[in-house]
Amino acid sequence: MSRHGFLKPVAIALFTSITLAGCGGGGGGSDDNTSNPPNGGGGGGSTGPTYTAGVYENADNFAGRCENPRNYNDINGNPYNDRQGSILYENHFLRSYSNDTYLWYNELPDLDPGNYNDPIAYFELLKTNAVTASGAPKDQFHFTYNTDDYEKLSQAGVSVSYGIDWALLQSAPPRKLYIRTIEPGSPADAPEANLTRGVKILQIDGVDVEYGNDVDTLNAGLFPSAIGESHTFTVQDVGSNTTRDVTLSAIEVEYDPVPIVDVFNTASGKVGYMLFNDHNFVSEDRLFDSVTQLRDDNVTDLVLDLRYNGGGLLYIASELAYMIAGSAATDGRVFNEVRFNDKYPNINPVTGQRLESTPFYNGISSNSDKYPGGTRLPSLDLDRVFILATSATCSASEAIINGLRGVDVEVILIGSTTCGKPYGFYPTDNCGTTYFTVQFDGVNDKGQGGYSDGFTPMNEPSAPGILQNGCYVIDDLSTPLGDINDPMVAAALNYRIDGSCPVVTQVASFGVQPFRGSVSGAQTVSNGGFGSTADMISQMINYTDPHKKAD
Amino acid sequence: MKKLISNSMLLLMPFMLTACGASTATKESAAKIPVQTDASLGELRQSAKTLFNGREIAISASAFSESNRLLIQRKPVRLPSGQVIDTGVDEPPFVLELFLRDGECYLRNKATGEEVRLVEVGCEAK
Repeated sequence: MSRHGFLKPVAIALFTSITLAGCGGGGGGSDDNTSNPPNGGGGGGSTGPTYTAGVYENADNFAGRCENPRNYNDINGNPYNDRQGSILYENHFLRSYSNDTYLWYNELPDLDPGNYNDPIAYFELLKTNAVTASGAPKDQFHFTYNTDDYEKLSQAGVSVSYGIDWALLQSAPPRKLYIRTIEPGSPADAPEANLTRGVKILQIDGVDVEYGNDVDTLNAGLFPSAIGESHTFTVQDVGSNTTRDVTLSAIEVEYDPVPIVDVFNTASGKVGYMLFNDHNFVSEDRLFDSVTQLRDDNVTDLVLDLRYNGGGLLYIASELAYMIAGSAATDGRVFNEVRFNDKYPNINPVTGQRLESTPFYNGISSNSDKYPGGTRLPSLDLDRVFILATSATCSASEAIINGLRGVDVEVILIGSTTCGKPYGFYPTDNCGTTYFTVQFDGVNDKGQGGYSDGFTPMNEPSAPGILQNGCYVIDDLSTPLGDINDPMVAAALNYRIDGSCPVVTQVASFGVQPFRGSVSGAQTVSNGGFGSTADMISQMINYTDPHKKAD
Repeated sequence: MKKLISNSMLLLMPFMLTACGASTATKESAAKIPVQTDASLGELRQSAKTLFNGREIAISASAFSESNRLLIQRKPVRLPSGQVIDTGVDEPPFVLELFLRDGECYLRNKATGEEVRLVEVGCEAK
């Protein structure tokens, strides 16, 4: 099987510089890649497809024609649809598929597939070079996975780890790495480890975090892959000038997606607080129970902490948005509507199904373990919500912000600019590589979307995104999450009283910087996993919406 | 003669119906695992791996403690920068089901229908 670079987040520090050096000026037809013809056929002179500028055959003509066909089965025991082909075929597939489904297909360079001998390198060029209003790349979500790695599964809400969520505040040297959260009951939570949120990591297995070149060792330590895998961390505790070593062994840690639910009793009423970290299958019942609790506590406002929520299942986001706003605001309204390129105004080009918008789901799905599918969701019936956010707030979390503002629920944003991903894609496997290319964006009931620069609190100094009422506040890793003294929580409670914000005295010193993980060119990451693309699409076509049918 | 045959049929009928009943599928019942041991967890993980064609699946000790169903999903997708994102496409979960049949405990991949009999896992009816 083909193997791709095994790169983890810390590796960006080194890999990014190399990639940038190698891919400048990809637009306009020029390229920096070797002109050696690919294996198995050159650019039109021998066996294999030929290239004609501006002419795109159906991608199906090239799909599964592989330089190295896989001879093993997919996750369901079915053989992959690979046949002997060549790199040329693989490149032609990418060219045609991109032209057909890429959201900004008319901004793509038309590059002769015969001039590239690495499909991944070729794919890296098949993206727009346009920038957003802030000057950031418009397409920051263009990358690949080794399909074998992409087919790794886990019980919903479980991962092999120490129970630590890392805060990589700066991925290029001098790197800054801290502990962001610790899951209760996990190895990192053990008394003998004595670790807390905000602890700084200086070395991993003897490799310096700040300037170390051995990124493989750093990555292996940060993201263990096997139960029992142990690594040693040299740490500096919060407020300490000394260092110590801590050895941690990985286990299968069960993460609570809603770890904190609380009520602040203020002079002007009860304010609910909910820390929500992951839109996974497990979160549905947790959200149901948590909102029920807050409803029964008669809260009149909600602080929804999405600062570390990178997204997940859109239907969970829809349910939560309903639970915040209630029926009057959401009945018959659209939570999210996807839009593909102008070739496909009504049909999903990947599944072939008619496009349908996502409503504000008001009933629990058939995936729930505790409640029968269709059970009415609890609601708080609020006309505003305080959302705590950082640059780690992404995807489905941003859809909550966008969906609510589309039905005139005021979203007061506390923290810093969100990641800026109104986009989505169908991960597509071809010949052992899974390709992620932006294929659609999402808009709300008012047709609003386009938040490629994220959502920004009104007084954030840089203000790159769509401005929302609220306050710029740095995420202070030295204070416990959800604590009334947590600067972000405190700012929300104060704003609620008089609409005022803390004075901005600094832009990210200690605490999470607006960590906008921009991607320059596709890179390969080893993490996560699922079945073959065909199988996945088949499941999507045959998938019964959990809100339309109860088990 | 006719009467003899018809009487014989009447006599045989209950047995024939019983035989029919015995040849139909045995009932299954949803199961859970009240007490998880290292051995049972190991078997559970290995069986899940078998049902997914050799793919490792992270399964916690609390699996099937409350429900006869275990939802499996892909591991989080991360950008090369480390940012966790989603694809914007809600993929259905893979589902593992735990059930009892004829007093034996089985684990089944709901999508494929493949099942593995468990010997270490202590199942009880849910």
